[in-house]
Parts: sequence; C-alpha cells; structure tokens
Amino acid sequence: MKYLLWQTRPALIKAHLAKKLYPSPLDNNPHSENKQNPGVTAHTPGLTDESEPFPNGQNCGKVRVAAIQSRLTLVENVLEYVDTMYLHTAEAVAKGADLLVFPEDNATQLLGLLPGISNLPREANLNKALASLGDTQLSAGDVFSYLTPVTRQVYFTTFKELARRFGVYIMGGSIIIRQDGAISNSQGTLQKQVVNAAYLFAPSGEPVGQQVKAHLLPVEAEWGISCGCDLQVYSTPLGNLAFPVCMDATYFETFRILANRGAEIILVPTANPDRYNFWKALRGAWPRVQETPVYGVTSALVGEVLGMELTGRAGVFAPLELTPNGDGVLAQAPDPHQEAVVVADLDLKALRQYRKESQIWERLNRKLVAKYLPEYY
Amino acid sequence: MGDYKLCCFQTGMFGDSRENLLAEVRKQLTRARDEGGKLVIYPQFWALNLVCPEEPADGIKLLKYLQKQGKTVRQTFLDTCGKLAGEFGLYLLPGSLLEVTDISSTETYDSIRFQNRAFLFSPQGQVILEQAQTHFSSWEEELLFGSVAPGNPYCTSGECPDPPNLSLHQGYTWPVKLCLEPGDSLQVVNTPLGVLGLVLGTDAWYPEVSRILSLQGAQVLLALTARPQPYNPWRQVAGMWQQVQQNQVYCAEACLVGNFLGKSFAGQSSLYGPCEITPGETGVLSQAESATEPEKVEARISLEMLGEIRSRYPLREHFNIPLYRRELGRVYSFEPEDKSILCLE
Repeated sequence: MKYLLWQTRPALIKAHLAKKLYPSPLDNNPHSENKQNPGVTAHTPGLTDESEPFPNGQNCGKVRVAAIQSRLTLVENVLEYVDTMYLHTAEAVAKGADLLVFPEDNATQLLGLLPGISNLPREANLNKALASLGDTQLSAGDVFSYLTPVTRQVYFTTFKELARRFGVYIMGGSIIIRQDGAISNSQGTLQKQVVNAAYLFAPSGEPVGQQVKAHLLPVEAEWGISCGCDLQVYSTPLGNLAFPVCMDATYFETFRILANRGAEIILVPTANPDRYNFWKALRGAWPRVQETPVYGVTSALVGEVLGMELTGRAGVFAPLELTPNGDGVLAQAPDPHQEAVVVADLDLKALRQYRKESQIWERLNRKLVAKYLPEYY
Repeated sequence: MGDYKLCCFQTGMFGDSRENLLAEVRKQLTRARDEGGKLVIYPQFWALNLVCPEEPADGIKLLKYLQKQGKTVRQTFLDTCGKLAGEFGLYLLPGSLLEVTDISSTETYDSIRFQNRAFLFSPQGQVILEQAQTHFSSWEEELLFGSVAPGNPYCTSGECPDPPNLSLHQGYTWPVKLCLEPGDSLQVVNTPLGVLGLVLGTDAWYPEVSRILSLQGAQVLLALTARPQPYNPWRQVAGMWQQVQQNQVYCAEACLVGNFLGKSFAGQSSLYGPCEITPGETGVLSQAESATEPEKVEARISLEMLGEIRSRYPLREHFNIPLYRRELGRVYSFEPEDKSILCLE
C-alpha cells in the first residue's frame, strides 16, 4: 500500500497538471459571472416556497452543463487517469461549460494499479473473478475498501486541481470507497461501510458537497457495498444542485425528495453494466425529469473491463415542454460505446415558469398519498 | 390463469345512436372473446356514450344533463355494462363516467361536485372494482367547465373556497360552484387474471398512484387516458410506459381518439410490460398504429414471467425505507414516522 500511495502521491499529480494548458480568465464564457462567488450551502426550502433560491441575485438564470461519457480502462500509471480527466475537462470548458458531470465509478480505472488485476478471468461477476484467486471470502467491496486511500488521494487531488485551474464546478462522478464514519439506520449502527459516493468541487477547488448512493444495484449489494440514507441539495451560484447516483434515479421518490428540497438541476452519474438498449437506458433520469420538473444531467461510464460491459449515453434532459423537439432531450451523446462530452444550456427561469404553469406540485393529491405512504413500502 | 389476452379498444365518442353503438360494442366484444380475450377496456370518458342520448355541445351542458338525470345515470350504466360483461363472459372496463357526488346550496349559489369514476365488471356482470380519478389537470377542468375568468367558480381541491365573484355558466340561470372532486382512495382487486388496479386520466402522470397500487399488490394496471391534440408520443412514454418500468407491472392503456366536447383527442393505445419481458426489450407488447383512428390492440401477458423478472431484478428490495420514512413526510405534508434515523456522521 505504501508503494501505491507513493506512486499516486498528490505532488506528482499536481506537478503533472501544472504543466497543462488552461484558459486565462479572459477566455471564460459569459456564464462565468455565475461562478464568481463559489459559496455553497445546503439548501432546504420546499418547492412551494415562494422565496427565490438566490435572494442576492447571483444566479443569471442560464447554466451551461457538460455531461461526460468516459471510457473505463484500467490504468497502470496514475497519470493516465489524470490525463483522461484533464482532457474531458478541457473539452467541456472549451465548449463553455460552467458545470461538469463525470460518471459513476469514476475511479475504478485505478484498480489497474493493483498487481495482477488484469490477469483476472473475464467474469461479468467481479466476485466470481476474485474467487478464482483462491480466496472465496474476498469480495469486490474488500478490494475497493483496500484501495480507498489511493482512490481518495488520486480522485480528490485531480478534481480539486481541475476545478481550481479551470475555474468551474465539477461533479467528479462517484467512487467506491470505505467511509470511516458510522451509518445508523433501522438495522443499527454500522462502522466503516464501503459506499458509492460522489463529490462536488467548487471553482475554488474545494470539495463542497457529497452524496452517497441511496439505492443499490443488486450486483453492488453482492459486492458488499452499503447504501446511504440521506439526499442532499447544494445551493450554488449556478443553481440548486443535487447528484444522486445512477440507480437512485430509478426511484421517483429520489427526485420528489430532492425537488421538494429545492433542487433544480439534478446530476446523475451512471455506469450501466449491461449491453445498450435504448428503452432500458431510458429508465433513469429521463422519466424522473418528466414527473418531477427539474433539469437532469446524466454522465456515463462505457467500455469493457474484466468481462463486464458498460454502456450508456450521456445526456441533458428537461421536461418535454422545455425541449425544442418535444422529446425531453436537450443534448445526448450519439454512441453508447464511445467517449463524448455533450453540452446544453439550462434556462432556470424557464424551468421556474414551467413549474408555475404546469401546477404539477400544486395539483399533487397529498392527502391521498399521505394516507398510503410511507407505510406501504 | 397466469397467461391470457388483454384487449384495448381505442375509440371515439358519440359517433352514432345509442342502439347502433351497442350493436357495434357487441361486435367488438364478440370478436375479443372469440379471439381468446379475457379482459376488454375502453378509454377515459367512454362510458358517457352509454348514458347520454346525444353528444352535448359543451362540458357545462354535459354536467347539467348528468345532474338532471341524477342516480338514473349510474343505474343505466351499471345495468348496461353488467349485462354486456355477463353476456360475453368477459372482464369489462367500459371507460369512465362523470358522476354527481354532492349538491348543496347557500343563499347565493349552488355547489355541485362531480367525480370521474371507472367500474370494472366481472364475467358474471358484477362490479368488482370502482375507482375515482385522484388528480386532475388544467385541461381536464377546461374541457368540462370551459375557460372561466379569474375567481373561477370551480376547483379540484375537494375543499372549495368560496370565490369572491361567482359568474354564471352558460346553461345555468343561478350561480353555481362546480367542483371536480379528486378521489381519496386507491384500491386493487384480486381476480383469476391477477391483481388489477385502475389508473384514470392524469393519474397516469403522477407516479404516486401507480406506486401505491403496485404496493397494494397490483400486477396489471388498467389505464384510461384522454389527451388533447397535438399528440406527442413522448408524453405517453412519460406516463404509463415508465410507471410500468418502475413498478414492474403490466399495463393496458386505452386512449380516447376523435372529438369530444369541442376538443380533438389523440393517443396510441398500448400494452406495456417491463422491458426485459417484451419483444426487443422496448417495454411495449402491442401498440395502436394510429394515434387518431379507432383501433383494437391486444396482447398476451404472463404473470409467471412477471414474477420471474421481479425476482431476477428485485427493484423493491432496494427501496430505501429509512430515507422515505424520514423525508417523504416533507414532500406529502405529513409528520415523518421516524425522526430518530441518522445518517452518515
């Protein structure tokens, strides 16, 4: 581990990134006025709250977002990972993005630093592949837990540097890590959980938000990963942001809770371990955006590693009425297997107007729902 | 009966006399039964065909007629449809019916409440499930009440405040307050065809409705919809298609087409299932070719396959119940059940 930590030391990453090209402040797009105040606070008003989310008038109403579709390749040198993240960021910034969204499991590339990992049998089930090493007790969760110190220092160093040097907000995607805190829930208090967590970095470079995945894929449960039990909304000069992770967007409850807390832009990092099918892929953020009016930004991890195929199309979604073709899509990557950076402009004023006119929340039969939920779950 | 055929009739309103309409319905039911259908559904509002002698000129005239007929409307409907279901030995969901649920008076105005209700008939001709629509959209209000000035004398909250300036609706010589009253309950019924639930109109776009029904055990949702033109297929995807996906149920959606009360309606009646158990993993078992013409849509469904996909991909096992118990109270305005639940510290 000490060797791995030295191989991935922050100084090395910082020095590497320092040699790269960055736009000067004068090159920034007109949206950059949104970013001058990097203050971020947890936001908790209800949707029916009449108050403006940005009482000091920081928000200009338009945000350019970039959804990144990145290839999962195991790296043997940490700088390969850093270079990939830099290139995606540079492309998104060149396209004028204020807010960048990286995919789920966005440090799985670093598994390649473990000796012998690429020799594992190509099994769609990572637990089975690990069992072939002779230790049937070893789970994928154990491997991610072991690698956590490395994952943390590489991920945080890389995205702090990129957010600061480019002067943009970056949601760096999620990483599977050991969380050395306690999770208390109805089953009791558990220590040192392995969780799938995403982080938001401000233009100052500071990590200003965290979200632990609250709904797991069955395969993640098999890996020994635990889910979080909270959903957060962060108030930024760009708007009220939330970033539930992948499967969280399968459940309408996630978006209802987040929108009720004030979320207007919901970022959804994904890594879908399945061959691509348009309709199956549609079952995430797109329908959630239609039933709970917010903007949705989905990033995707693609590629094939250890016999597991990942597919998906990064996209930016909006209520049907706010999209030029009436299809709920503002931008989407064309190929579910290739890398891409797609950008779109989000008009928050239009969203607020749509919410007011559609009256979706006002017409929700709360009395009916309260009669049945949450007891029915 | 784990494997059977469902039929949807995509159809319009008031095309013919009641006698001719019943003759046409008998032909449709004969065909459905002879081709192995077990359950037949018609679109939103279609039941009004069976109780109104002719098409009313507008929503207010329709409501006034229903008000005048009183309880005979329901009785006519129940008698007619009970006989049809029994005659053909089919489960029958003959669209929905607007009903007067309450009339009251003050010194200055009358108050009339309506609900949109659907009734599912057994092959024995009995009503085995009754469901009132629980959410209304602005276009549904406009369809029935017309465009009304601010301070409008109608509401859908079920708790109508007294508006300051009551206007006279055409056809009424006395001020009235019209209420489209949302239903306050959701039910399912266990049948040999599986556990069935009904979704009416705008309820298709409120995920809470299908979620509650599926948590009550629904395996098949029967949806009656009517959307005014212009037609956008993505709106249907955002409705029952996606409710089916997130609840792992089957659904038959019957769409109203043609003209009704001065508006033109369009939709593609469809039979949906979870993507994994439909051809091409599209989530669609069968769909009308046209969004504007009458058509019959049918497909076989298998409750066994539904059970398999639910166990192979157990979405419900991953509900985050502690989160919902703590947070949904804020969304739906009730006290959270367990305030003591903590999270990452």
